[in-house]
Amino acid sequence: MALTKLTTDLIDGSLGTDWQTAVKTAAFTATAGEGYFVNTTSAAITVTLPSSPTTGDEVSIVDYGLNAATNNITITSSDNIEGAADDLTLFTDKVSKTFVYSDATKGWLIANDSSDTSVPPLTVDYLVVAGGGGAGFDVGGGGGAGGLRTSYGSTSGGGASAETSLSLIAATNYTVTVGAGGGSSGSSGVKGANGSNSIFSTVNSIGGGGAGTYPSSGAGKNGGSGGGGAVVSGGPAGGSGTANQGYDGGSASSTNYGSGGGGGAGGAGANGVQGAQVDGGLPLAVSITGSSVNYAGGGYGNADSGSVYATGRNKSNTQLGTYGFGANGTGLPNANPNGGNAGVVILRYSNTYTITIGSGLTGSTATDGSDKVTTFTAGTGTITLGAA
Amino acid sequence: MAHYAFLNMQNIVTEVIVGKDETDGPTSWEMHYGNIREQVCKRTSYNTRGGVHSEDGTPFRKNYAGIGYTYDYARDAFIPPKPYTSWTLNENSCLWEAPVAYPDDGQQYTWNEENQQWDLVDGTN
Repeated sequence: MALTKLTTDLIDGSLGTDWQTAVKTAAFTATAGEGYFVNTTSAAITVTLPSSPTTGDEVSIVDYGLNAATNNITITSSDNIEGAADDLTLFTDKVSKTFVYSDATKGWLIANDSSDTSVPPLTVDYLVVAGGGGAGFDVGGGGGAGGLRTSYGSTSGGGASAETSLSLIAATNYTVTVGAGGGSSGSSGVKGANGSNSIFSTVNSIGGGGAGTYPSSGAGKNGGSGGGGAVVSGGPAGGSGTANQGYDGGSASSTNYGSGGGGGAGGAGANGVQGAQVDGGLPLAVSITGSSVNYAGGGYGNADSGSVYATGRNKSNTQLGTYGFGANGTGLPNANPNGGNAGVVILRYSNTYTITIGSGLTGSTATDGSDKVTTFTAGTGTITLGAA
Repeated sequence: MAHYAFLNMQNIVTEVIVGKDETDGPTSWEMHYGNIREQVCKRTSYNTRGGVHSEDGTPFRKNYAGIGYTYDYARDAFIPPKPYTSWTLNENSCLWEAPVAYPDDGQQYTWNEENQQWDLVDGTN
């Protein structure tokens, strides 16, 4: 009986692995029964397992370049891999694996393994908030909030849907930058400064727009969220927010003495009203840390009523958000308001990874369930992720 | 926590980041951040305006740097854009001032560059 099976396999060629002589240096689709030497010396490579496999189909992979730790080998398939729809990342030098197709439930399983080198896909969720914009001089507008981009939850800045999580490569450097808040107007005629951008990898959130200033240069600046317009005849417009990051700032009152609120990540700044203070745009609540926290609200626009100047109300951080909020106008004649608030970068990833943080960055890591959450509050530099 | 400004070739501020304090270890963070970006990097103080630190700290470089500000090496100061042609730089504050002082009667005025005077703003329009 066994001899009969062996003879059959020899005849139809299904015995053993048909190793391909051409070393693979770019993405390819594997064929059942074949083995491949994969060289990632120059770049990471994705291997697509055969479609419509039958039980017992096998594919073997060997790290030819002995470099998979630097440039990973990603295994993908339209069928499950080890019972999950996720890709599999091979990130250890000298790795070799043989995949055998089982059934529709488990899909491809690992039949032979050079070592325990498989980990969940390196998928990272992010929240990137830029610095808020500065307020205008005197009875100026409110600063625009820093642009907000997130892949976590359902909503991102400016009313957009949450973005797609990033698929990263282990042991690879990724840039993180925390943008500062923009300074307030230093003198009459000078608008509030824009906040600076915050960055994670390819995600760049734009600094909040500086507010228009009294008694000239009334239009708010464009930014992640727009700065509020300031009291100048004609009702200068608020600045525009950036699509998918934040809302527009409010315009100044068409009559005098009513500046617009800065735009927020969750709503537009209110238009100025003569003799009244108006709200900045709403912040956006994001739960990436495990708790719902507000980020990036717009600063309020200020005004005075005739000769009675408003004293300025102090919005709480709950209203403005914890990071990236725009500065509030002062409502005081010839006065300097505060600057915008600094941004933040928050990453959430599987606790099967550890993070290495560059020396110029200030970050701390907490655990939430089976994930780690790293919050960066200062600096610019690089981070890497690797197996725990 | 400290702040750092990056300059372009014309000494204009292109970006400001929050960074590590200079007392945080032996590293010169100005140099460290500058090397990362391959740009000149200068420390700046968030709470400083007109040469005064609002919380009695060190008033680095006269004014908190903003995007579009100029860094003046001779004065070691960040200077905002000049709002009007006739305005001159106050050497102490490194802020721009009108040739006529802003009235101190509590009312609001707008600068009239053509007539070189402050015009009273009518709040009721």
